[in-house]
Amino acid sequence: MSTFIGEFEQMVLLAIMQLGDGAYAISVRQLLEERVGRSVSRGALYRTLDRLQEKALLNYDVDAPTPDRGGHARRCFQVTPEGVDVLKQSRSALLTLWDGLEEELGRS
Amino acid sequence: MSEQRHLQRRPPVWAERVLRWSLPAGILRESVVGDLREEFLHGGLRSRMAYRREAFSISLRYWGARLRKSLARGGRGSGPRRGGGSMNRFFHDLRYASRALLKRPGFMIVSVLLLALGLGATTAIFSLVDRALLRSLPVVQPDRLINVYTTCRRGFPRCSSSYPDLIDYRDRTETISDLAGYTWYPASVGEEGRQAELATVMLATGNYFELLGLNPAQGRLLQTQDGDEAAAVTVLSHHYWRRRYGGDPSVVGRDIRLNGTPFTIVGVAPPGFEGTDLGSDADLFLPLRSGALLNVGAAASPGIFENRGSRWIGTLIARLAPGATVEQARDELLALSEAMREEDPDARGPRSVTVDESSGYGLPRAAREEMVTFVLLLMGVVGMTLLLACASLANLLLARASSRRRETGLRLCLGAGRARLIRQSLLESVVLAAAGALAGLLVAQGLLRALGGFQLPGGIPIEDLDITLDWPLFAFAAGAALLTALLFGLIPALQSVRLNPADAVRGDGRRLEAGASPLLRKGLLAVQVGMCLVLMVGAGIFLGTLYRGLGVELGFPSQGLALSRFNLTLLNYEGEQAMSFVNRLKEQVEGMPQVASAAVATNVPLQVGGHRGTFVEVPGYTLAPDEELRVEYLFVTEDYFETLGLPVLQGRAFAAGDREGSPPVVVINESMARRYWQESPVGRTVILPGDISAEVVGVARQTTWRGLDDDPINFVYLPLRQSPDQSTSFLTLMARARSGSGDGGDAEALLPLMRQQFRQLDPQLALSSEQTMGDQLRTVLMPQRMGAFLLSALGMIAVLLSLVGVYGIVSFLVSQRRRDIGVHLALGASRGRVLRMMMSTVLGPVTIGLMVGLAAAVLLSGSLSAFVFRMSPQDPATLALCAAALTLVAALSAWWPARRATRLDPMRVLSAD
Repeated sequence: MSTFIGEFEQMVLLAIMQLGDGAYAISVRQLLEERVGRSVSRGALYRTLDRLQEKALLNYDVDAPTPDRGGHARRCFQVTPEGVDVLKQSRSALLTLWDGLEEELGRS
Repeated sequence: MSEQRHLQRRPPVWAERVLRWSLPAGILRESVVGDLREEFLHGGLRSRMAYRREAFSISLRYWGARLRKSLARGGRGSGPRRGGGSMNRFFHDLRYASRALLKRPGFMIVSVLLLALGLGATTAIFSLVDRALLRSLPVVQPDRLINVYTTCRRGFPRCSSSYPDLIDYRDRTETISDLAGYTWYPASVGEEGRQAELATVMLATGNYFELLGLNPAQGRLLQTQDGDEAAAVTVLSHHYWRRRYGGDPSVVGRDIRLNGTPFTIVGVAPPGFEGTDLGSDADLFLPLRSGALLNVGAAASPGIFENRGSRWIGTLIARLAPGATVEQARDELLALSEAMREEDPDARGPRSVTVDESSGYGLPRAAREEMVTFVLLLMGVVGMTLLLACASLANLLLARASSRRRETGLRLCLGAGRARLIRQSLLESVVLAAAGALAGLLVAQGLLRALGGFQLPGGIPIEDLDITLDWPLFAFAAGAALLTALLFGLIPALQSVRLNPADAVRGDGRRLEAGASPLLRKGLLAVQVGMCLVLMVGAGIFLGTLYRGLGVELGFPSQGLALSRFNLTLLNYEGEQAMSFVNRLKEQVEGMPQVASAAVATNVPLQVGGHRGTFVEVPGYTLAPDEELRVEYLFVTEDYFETLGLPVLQGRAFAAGDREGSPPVVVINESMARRYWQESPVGRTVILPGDISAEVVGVARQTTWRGLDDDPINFVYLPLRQSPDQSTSFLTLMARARSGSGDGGDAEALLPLMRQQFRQLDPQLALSSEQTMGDQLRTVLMPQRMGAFLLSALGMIAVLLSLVGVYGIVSFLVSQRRRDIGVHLALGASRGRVLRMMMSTVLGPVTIGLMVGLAAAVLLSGSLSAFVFRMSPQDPATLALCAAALTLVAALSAWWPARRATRLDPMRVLSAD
């Protein structure tokens, strides 16, 4: 499978993997904002999650509703094996392109 | 906050609702709503505002995604996904509706045009009405303000007041808490290093601004002591401050020269306030007593403030005392005026007073009633247009629905839900109404711009009113159109889904027609025809008046006359100096090869404003009690009658010898001669104000003066040379072009040449107007021109609409009754008979429409009587002509589709079943 995904999609998948069991939309957004320093709009995040799910790169479990969510359920995301493959491909593609440029790019 | 209460905190209900509505049903909706709820309670969305913003932003993302997806799908044959959320279906239906409309561009264009014209005209005219009549003064409690006028004689209820009158009205009444007076003058404004220009100056009593409750934008406004001391101070109007000084605040305290006298600028009036008259645009406000420093008009006459007989303060405005009503004030002022007359019977005290509510801008008094009628007329016409547009739209929608029954049937057969079909049809109406509203907005803006070129009765240029589009009103009109579209989209939709789909698909005409829609359509057609006739009659009457007005006998030939108005007082020309300017000007202009003759006068016929009236005595004629001999008078040079082309019927015109020092002479007009003398008045005397007895040397022919339809006015012409001090403020140079071919020569071409002559004599002199007598005639006929323009345009649209309506119904019936027609033809009916049969289907509605229209036209045209001139507003010829024309149009538009019916091949029609 040779799917390439966008930078933001990669970040979202990586954040979900970083978060492990506790990966749901709010925590993903927080992690991206804290670690990458990138401001993420909620709408964009939800649409990206939808898209990744449609591409079968992630799936989710449904948590039981809690009172502080007004009785609404929560989706907890996991990256699927296909998602992991795509991430690997992206990484190796990037590393190939980085090869030989460390000196130049590292300096700047 | 306890944990329990904290959990009960709820996010904004509507925002959450929108969010739910925007998201596809299922776990996605659940989890997103839950996430936001959680963040609202614990996280980064604590404020309700932030929640709303985020909810709307997420909703927008999902809508956008849907729209992109549905556009990408192209919708070809793809229905909505099952369970795909209501938004999905909505977008699908919206796309379907738009495509269905675009598939029949003719229908779409006609409907949108109809709505655009109806909405646009309504909004533009109502915006005008709102600004001209309904909007109140930008002052404190405008509903507590009244206007007070002194009645000078019978039939003239609103004359100017004298200063002693003003003081009495103010001080001797309980129902009035304060009263101010004002009058207008032009003044020449000059400053070091700047070009002199004309400005409009309002002379007002010192309490004027205080009475209105206004606050200054800069510095201060006029105060009572300014008036008492005749201080050389002025307040700029906001727009003048912006225009001349670029809104520079440091202008306060600076000097400005008015007619050569320095005045100190003490402040700037609040924005939007330019005086209390409609269309008035005061540039500067001055204390009433300081008018003497301007050296112009009555305000400069010595003793004017003590003279009860000198009525020169144009308008008095008063504020009612707390609790007092307009009626109480009127009663009190009437009683006071009676007392004043009794106290001092010789001093020509006020005959009576007139008290008006000043709820809106005080219109110039001559214009008030005429304008109200005119504007109401416009509103009526425009309201009718909106109604007509709605009726036509309804008819179009019904026609369209009929032609689509087959399609509806097919879709029902294929399993489409009835609710869905109805919704789609309603959505089409909404799309149509939205497009119409958008186009209507453009039409309204364009119309407002076009109307700027016209004037309201009373000579107020519409441009000066700064009319902006009235948005609430536009919303109202658009709402009416939407409602029409929805209603007449719904009726046929409900009918068609009740059909037996099989009948619809087979196209069985008779069963299809069983609904109420043909009857409804015929009813609407009758309404259309009726309203169309009313508009046509209105247009016909205005056009008739315009035609008669342009051809009216003015008493002099109007072609080839060029007029330039100027004001010598502004540049401090006085007496002999002014006279010699006039003489040199006249000589130079007469010396031009293009000019046949030239004259200077204080006034010319058909001029707006500047009329002068006075009272004279005729020895030997005894006035009846209550009778006054009021005359219009004007000062003219000796060539006046020759230049104007006004024949002197008896005696002589003025001669060069009638100058200062020679015995006073006058020329009077025909109506005065007939009324006050049994035989020829030439050689008799008239006693002018100041006990000057003047000899009547000639009688000039009657001429129209203010308007085309005025009653005969008594006229006294005086030689300008005999009274050089009197009248140098408003003068008109009149030149008649030398005619090459006998058609009166080109007056338009003379104006720039005349301007050059002025410039040669005094480059500082600014002309206050330049126009031809033809222009002036057109100004006088402005209401008729505007009425004729609007009603003709709307009438033409109405005729077109009726044409489309009749054509639509007949062609619809022809297509629906093909089978019947085929049977008739097969059984040997003649083609003529079939033609008659089809045409007769619209006979009923057209006849009813014509009759109702005629009745309505007769009833409504009474409101035109103020503008109709030398013809009856119920002119039978116009009524008959319009009705005949409309009948012809209806017959032609029925004949065209009916003719198709006669060309059907019966064999083919019958075998098609």
